[in-house]
Amino acid sequence: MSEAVATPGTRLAREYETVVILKSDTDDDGVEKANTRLAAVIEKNAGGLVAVDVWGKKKLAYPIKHDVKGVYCYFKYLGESKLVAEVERNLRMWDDVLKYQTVRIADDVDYAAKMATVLPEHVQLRKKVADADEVPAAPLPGFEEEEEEFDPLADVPDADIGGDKE
Amino acid sequence: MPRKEMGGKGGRGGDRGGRDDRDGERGGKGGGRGGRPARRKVCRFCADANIQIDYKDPHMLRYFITERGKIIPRRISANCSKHQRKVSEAIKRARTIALMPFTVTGQ
Repeated sequence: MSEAVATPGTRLAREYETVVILKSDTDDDGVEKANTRLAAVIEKNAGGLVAVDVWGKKKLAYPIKHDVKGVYCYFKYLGESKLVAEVERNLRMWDDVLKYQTVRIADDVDYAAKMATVLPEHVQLRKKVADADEVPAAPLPGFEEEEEEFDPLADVPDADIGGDKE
Repeated sequence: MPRKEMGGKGGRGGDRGGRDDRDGERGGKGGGRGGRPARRKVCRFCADANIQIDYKDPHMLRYFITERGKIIPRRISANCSKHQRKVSEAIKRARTIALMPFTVTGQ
């Protein structure tokens, strides 16, 4: 909020992130094409790309268009709601896209200040498609030592969980 | 009397939820009272402010769904209402983008 009443003339924008799932047979070139195309759309509509990431090929939790795997790409950008509409319109037209989701992460971001913090490596593709599946590395902080202790169903009486009643 | 009640419930929930996920008894005979000693109930997100609730992190969210893929209710997961809201929103977002399942069936 305080940013909203900053210096007059400051351009305020919203920060969005879009996750795009591309078909599993998309290769590095396809991902790069997707990236450049989306970057162009964002730039053309007065938005600013803040971060790009390729999560790689992951197994989908459920099949989408008969595909059980997908290549996940992540984009973070600044802009207005019109920009999101335009980005999503482009994604819909595109056959390689299985699914996408846009989430608004911040309101009233100072456009110039935010863009000044963006480094070139944030908006360059670092990782390529390669399989990125399930390497549940170290347990998450705050969860590790509780692993055996935390059983969400532990304090539910057996009758509630519904073992065999016979 | 109570037995009859339970039978009715089981029949209704038959196809959809499966027994493992079923909520506790409502207005049944005493539910969780008495049997076991009370457990500590602290919202883990309040206890440790470093844990971020993020839909992009399905490994963390996995603690808050059942094997069937349903969201675990607050009274069991011990989350406070604020964080349960965030958790459930994150799970729903993760589902949309196929990071988490809507449902898991036993084939």
